[in-house]
Amino acid sequence: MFTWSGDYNWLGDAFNGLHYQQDVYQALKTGAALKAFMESAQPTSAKRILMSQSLGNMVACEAMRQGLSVGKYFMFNAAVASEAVDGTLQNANAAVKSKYVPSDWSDYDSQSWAANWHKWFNNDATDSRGKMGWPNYFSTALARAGTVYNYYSTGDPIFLESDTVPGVTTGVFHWPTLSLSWPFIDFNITAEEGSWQKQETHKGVEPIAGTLLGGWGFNCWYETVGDEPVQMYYTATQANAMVANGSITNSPVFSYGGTQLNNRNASQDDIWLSLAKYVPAISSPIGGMAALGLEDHNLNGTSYRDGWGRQDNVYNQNWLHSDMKDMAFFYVYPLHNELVQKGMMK
Amino acid sequence: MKVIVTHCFIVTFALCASAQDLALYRAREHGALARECLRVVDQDGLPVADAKVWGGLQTGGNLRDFTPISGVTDTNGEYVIQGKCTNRIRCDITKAGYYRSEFLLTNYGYSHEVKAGKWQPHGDKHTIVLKKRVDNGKLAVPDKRKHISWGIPLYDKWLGFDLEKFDWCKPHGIGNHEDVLLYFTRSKKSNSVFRFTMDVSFTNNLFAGAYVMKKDLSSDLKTLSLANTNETFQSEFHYVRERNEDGKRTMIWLNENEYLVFRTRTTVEDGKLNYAHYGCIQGQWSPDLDSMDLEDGCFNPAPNDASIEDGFYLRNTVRDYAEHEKNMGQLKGQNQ
Repeated sequence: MFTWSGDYNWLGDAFNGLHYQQDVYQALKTGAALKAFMESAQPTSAKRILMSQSLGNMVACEAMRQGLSVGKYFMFNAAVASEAVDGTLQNANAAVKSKYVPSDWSDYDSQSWAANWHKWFNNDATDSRGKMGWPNYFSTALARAGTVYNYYSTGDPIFLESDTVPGVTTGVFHWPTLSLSWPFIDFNITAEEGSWQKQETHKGVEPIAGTLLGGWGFNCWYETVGDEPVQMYYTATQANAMVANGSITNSPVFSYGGTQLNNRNASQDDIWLSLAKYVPAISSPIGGMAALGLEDHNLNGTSYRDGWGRQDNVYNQNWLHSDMKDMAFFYVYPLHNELVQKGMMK
Repeated sequence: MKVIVTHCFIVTFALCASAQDLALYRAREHGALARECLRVVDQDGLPVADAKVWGGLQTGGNLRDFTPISGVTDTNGEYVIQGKCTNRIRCDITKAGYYRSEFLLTNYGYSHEVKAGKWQPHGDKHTIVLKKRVDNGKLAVPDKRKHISWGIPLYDKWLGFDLEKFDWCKPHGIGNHEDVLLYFTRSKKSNSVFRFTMDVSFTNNLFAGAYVMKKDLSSDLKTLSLANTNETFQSEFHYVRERNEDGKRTMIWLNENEYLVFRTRTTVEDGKLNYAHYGCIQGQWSPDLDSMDLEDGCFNPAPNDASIEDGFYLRNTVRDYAEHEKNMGQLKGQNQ
């Protein structure tokens, strides 16, 4: 069991989820330690079996990106953008765009988005900005695993998505239901719902569970019109023209002040911080979809359960984020049986 | 003069448009009167009276912001949902002896218009099918204590699969009947470049085959209760899971919202179908790295009985409950 400080908070345990981007940063920073640990614990790479849950997959993928090889890698409820393992999944279609690109930006050429800033520089290996993008960030990582298994759940509330970019309270409040035990009413507040989509789409624009730099914020400045200072930012027409002639590299359209997004000499630590806090993913998480194409296993179906121990007012009998451990073994043993079989751990 | 008339026209048009937008805005914020007419019927189309309808019409973004829906259907199986609504209508329809069904309209405020304080169209008719619960409990189902995916014993060769035992035929498993034949191929260059195929054939049994259905996601019974024996049963299916060097994906399989109704183990007399067994295979059903994934299924061991009412929901609600009741009864008896 490998654990790390992945639940940053300064407001108390009740608000852990509000610092998700900081948690991503800490996960990325921890990859090297996991690599060192596994290599010392098991020198033969083919014998290494790596299992990670949720954001632990960020640690695992970063460890493999840095060179850790494993025989088998099991991803559970992976809180990693699918575009990180398959770049073609970034902004793959209109539905994805509707879910992950705020309407303010929909008329702006995608090359002007913070999410694609890295593409202007990724031909130059010495330019740190070229490494500040999620597409294919972990593609070499997965190549270092003999076999990769993705156990995802289409019923995972953390990864549930609205059809359009959500607000802070989207999906949080549901109609209350009456119950037969105290307090006789279930308020059905689900603060965790849609967390993934929110933490990506709120980068740069939302102080609660988001960040206020980079991301989907606009680079703004003031100009004096008459005697009044007026806030200015590039219009879509201006931005698209800058994309066409390449001059956008001198004038980012997104909010980059106070970040290292435009520093070609940024350190590895800055790159991780930028990815975690300022560069939005434009794709669903691996933990919510069949991202790999092979060995994708939907936990939310009937295969991995035998009966179910919970009838939730909001999520019915969904397989929730941590049900592989939270739900009694009595109900989820088919999953564990399969893991023993696929991991050849008997 | 022309200019004045044109301007008057534009101003009038703008005012009308603004009034419409304002009405829509107000309706989405504060609600407008919605009316939806439900007709609840069973599988045979007969009205289901006294079915309980319970739910709510959304009236805002906060707790308690809903107009309750609560009542029962009349003798014609009809119930009218009416009330103030901003965006969403949802209710359960239940009755003892039937599977629960759900009626759900999302994005109401964005798919309707408003006129005179009412959402338009006003009074749309909807038919809800409430499926009767038979629970014959006699169907064969996969044993999850043994299998949730099946390791593929051989590639590039036809393999028999027994749909009653839900296992490979001997010597690879415990199956006795080749109810369906499966042929697997695989090639994998890396974790992101691969091609896996699964050919499905019922051609070893005359008149055998299967047809694809969409799962009924609004009902607790996702499948049909009875196989349609007059349907066209297709004898072959080809499934592929591929990602090429360019990143292009081809993913064709029985997906998780579909199921196959099959007919197999047929016997023929005078060139005509005499006996057959029916069942279903629930998606997702697909080839994988070294296994075949199959979500669920059932097989009716009674020949010519087209009932395929089984699967997860039935097993986990009714049957487990019955088992529980039975155990409790035994305990009671012991205690007495």
